Amino acid sequence: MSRLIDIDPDHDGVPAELVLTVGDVVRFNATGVLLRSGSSVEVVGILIDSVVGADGSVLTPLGVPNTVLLKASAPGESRVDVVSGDPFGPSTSRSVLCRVQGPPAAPRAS
Amino acid sequence: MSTNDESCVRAFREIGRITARFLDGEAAVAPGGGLDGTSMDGTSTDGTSMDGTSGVFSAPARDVSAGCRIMPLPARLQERAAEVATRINPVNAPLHQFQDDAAVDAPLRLTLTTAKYWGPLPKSLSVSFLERTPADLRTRIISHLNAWSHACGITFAATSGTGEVRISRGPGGYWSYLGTDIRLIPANRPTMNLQGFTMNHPESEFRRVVRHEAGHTLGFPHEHMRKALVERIDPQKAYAYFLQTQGWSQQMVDQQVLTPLDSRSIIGTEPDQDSIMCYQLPGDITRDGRPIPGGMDINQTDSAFAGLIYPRTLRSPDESLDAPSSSGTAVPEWSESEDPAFAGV
Repeated sequence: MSRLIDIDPDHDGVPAELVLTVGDVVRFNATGVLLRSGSSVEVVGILIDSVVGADGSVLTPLGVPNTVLLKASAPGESRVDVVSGDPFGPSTSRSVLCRVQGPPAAPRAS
Repeated sequence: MSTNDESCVRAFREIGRITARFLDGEAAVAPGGGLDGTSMDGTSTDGTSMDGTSGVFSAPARDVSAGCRIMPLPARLQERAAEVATRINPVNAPLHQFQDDAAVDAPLRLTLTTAKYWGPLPKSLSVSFLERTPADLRTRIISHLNAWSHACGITFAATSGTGEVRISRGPGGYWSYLGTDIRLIPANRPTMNLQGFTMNHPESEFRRVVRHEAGHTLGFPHEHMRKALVERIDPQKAYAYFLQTQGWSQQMVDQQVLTPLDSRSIIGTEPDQDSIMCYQLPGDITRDGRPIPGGMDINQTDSAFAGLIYPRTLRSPDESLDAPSSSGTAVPEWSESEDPAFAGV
């Protein structure tokens, strides 16, 4: 089963290396991300949390993007810089090496 | 910073018209007192004052019935007059407002989905916290929300239950939903986020951040999205800057920085780069290389406009614009055949 991995860089920090499996999705509480090298992960999006309101519409707060989604798409290594803080002022960039492994082998039928 | 008197006068006229609608459709103001118990005699308890925590000038309470009065048109002409005014200047467009009932007329109903205005009656919004929050921090945050209340008729009050304003200090940065949208947010969700705020934060951050987010709750959008300020930004510089620093696409930069607010959806003063609702923008992205300083606290223009939009005192319902007022201002009347022609409408 693929995993959703939630990381808050300002609270938890960012590991220097993150070992993932193809299909995993990583969610960072961050304002931006830069893919520095590799193609084993893809940036799904730089997003802002929103909710479904009582009237059924999707409501978005006023603020800067606060969510970065990455998907482990292929075996290999990628380096990304995760950015948090104020996009218009002081921000912090943290580099992480994403090492993506292939999907677990399917169990053999007996 | 500049206060544009003409814009304020236009806003004041529009608010007067909207006030009449709300007074017809909402709960009546208690005789002699506001909904939150504030004085209705045209003065605040301390009159003109300085905000004790910030030194921000607090405008005196306005009594809209005092002095010069705006003479209202007969009801049959108000819709056409609004159309004419809007055509002359989009700023005159009816203020968008959310209202559940169907009492509003067709032109206003067309804009309901984007309306965020709380209406002109004094209000108290209840406030709760989603996480366990020390009492001194709760008090401090609410005191900064109420920095707006020195100038306007909306106050914030703590509740032990589920507040209309629900504050989280969890991850996700600083944000708030806009105006009356907070009524639509599920009760288990925050309407405002103040990531990581503690008593250790400097007072300047409480002023800059909490008061900014409170402004959104009052319905004020980002000032740096006003057309005049957006036009100071060089798109190519902005694309390069945010790609390099954040990894943002051009589309995201367009949305976040380069798309001005629709002038027809807002009503306000001249764009104010010192407003508390204005972000600080770096000189790296402006055409002239000078930064847009942004606001560090509620300034006089913010206070004055908040007091205009949300007056601390209002006429009582029997003084609505559609009826003779107790102070002697009556709706002028003439026969329908004498109505002026509105060219092009």
